[in-house]
Amino acid sequence: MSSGNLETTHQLVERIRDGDAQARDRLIRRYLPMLSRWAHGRLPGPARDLNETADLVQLTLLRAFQALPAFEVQGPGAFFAYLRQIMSNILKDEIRRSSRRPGHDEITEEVVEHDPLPLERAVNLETLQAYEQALNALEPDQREAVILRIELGLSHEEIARSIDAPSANAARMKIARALMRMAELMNAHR
Amino acid sequence: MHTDEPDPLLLKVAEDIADGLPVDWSSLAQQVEPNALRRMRELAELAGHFSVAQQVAAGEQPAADTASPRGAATESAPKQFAHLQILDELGRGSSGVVYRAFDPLLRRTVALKLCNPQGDMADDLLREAQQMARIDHPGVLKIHGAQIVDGHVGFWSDLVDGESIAHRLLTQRIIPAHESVLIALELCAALAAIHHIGLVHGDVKAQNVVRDHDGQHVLIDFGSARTLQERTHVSGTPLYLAPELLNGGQNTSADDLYSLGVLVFRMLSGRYPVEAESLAGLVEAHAEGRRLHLLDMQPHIDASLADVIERAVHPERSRRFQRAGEFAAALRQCLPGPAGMAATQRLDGTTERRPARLPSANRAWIGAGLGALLLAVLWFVWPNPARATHRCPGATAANHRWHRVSTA
Repeated sequence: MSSGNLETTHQLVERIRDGDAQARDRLIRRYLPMLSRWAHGRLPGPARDLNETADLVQLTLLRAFQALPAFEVQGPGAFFAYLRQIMSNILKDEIRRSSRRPGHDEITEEVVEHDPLPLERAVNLETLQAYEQALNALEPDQREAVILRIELGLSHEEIARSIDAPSANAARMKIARALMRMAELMNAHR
Repeated sequence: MHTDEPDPLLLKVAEDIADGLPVDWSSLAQQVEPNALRRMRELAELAGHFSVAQQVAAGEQPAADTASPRGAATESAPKQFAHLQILDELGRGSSGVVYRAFDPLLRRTVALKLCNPQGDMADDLLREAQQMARIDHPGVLKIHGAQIVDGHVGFWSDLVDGESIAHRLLTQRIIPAHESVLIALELCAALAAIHHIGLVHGDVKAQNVVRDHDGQHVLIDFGSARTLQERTHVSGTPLYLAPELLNGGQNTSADDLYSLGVLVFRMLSGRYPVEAESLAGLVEAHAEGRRLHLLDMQPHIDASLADVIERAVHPERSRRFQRAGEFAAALRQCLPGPAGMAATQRLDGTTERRPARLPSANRAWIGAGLGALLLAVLWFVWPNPARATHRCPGATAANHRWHRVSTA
């Protein structure tokens, strides 16, 4: 982090790579609440009933740390996007798994298709896909800022700390410009 | 759009989304490139849905207005009307609020207009629905149903996915003569269908003509439509109003044609035949005969076309076109070559005699056949005070904006 005596995520990742176990705990403490919130709003009903959010978060962090040696730190703010991607992949597996449990009429891909994530019920799939594509085309720090603001509702100040921006307003403008870029990209994709 | 030189209005929208502030989409519609604005709105809607998901995750009760996307609505929005699932707000006007809604029975997205709960417009809205239901023409917005639920009137129709002429003129300033004539012919046909059943549209203008994806121009906004018997006052937008209506009176079908003439004048030249920056100034300009002429501004325009349009907006009522077919016939004479033939073939003879009900397999209806997965839609559907404004050429401040008037 840029202010006070807090470490940046980049620094923490480097320390974890050097074998600092406490750095690992600190990184988990930083991201666990955000990951939990992010996961909970996206789990389908059957999965949420199984109280799997905590497991999902743990599994995400576990995989993230397993892959950490290969994780390329692309800038000051890219770590949550990295965790989010891992969690999304696990989540997709989880949805397929939950759809095959008793209680569903048929165990087919069709069930998966017709049992969308809560978010996908509210937003059409095409828009979500365009959003993801545009998000992936952003610079890492822009992507992180957009995810933290749009998907998690963090304050500009919190985001500035996460992406190492000089001020809350700088983070705010980065998000605004990223949204403009995304609108442009979403147009190009459709 | 270039990110290194961002459109300042679009950037402001992006900042508002970043700040979680509501965005007045309807007032932006005529000022910002429509596709960019549409995507920006999708992002705002996504932000709203993410916000709801976060509140649920945190064990909070989502705020009423976040059930609607953040920034898309400024107050609590209903989630359901009859069997329709309300998705988000598209715009609001004096008579009601227009929502994008999903019809789960037919699996398509529609535009739903609900009466304004603060107003006393339920009768007007029902009348609007009834007027629209009487018309079946590809150039007129198609209504699909209406219902009264707990005293609230609502009706739903096609959701037009396209660009209004007003928006197009913002970026293009003028529309080529040949295309302007074709558009005018389509609108003549639509007006003929409307007039054929005794209705007057009452607010023909650039904002109320939208081109759908198939290239068909559709006349929207029947909030001002009345039968001749029902008309007790003038409605419309001053710059499009025949001069004799500016001091009151009753719109007739011929006045729709005057408004269409003004619209074509504007498409051809980027200007209005009579311009002013206030209602009083407009009345004065008409009284003093201060008017622009097409050939003075666009000398390359075919003289016969200029004559037709000058006749349509002639200061003397008796000199103007009285029927849509008459106007269309004159316009058709201005179309040269094969394109003219095509247009003639398409509209020939039917404009005057086109029955009100005109099933046509070749005319693609907006929204019809679109499934739930094709939710990429637009919003330009019904009146909205902000959307129904027009800034006079030369005006620089917001206080020079016109509003739809209803002159007693």
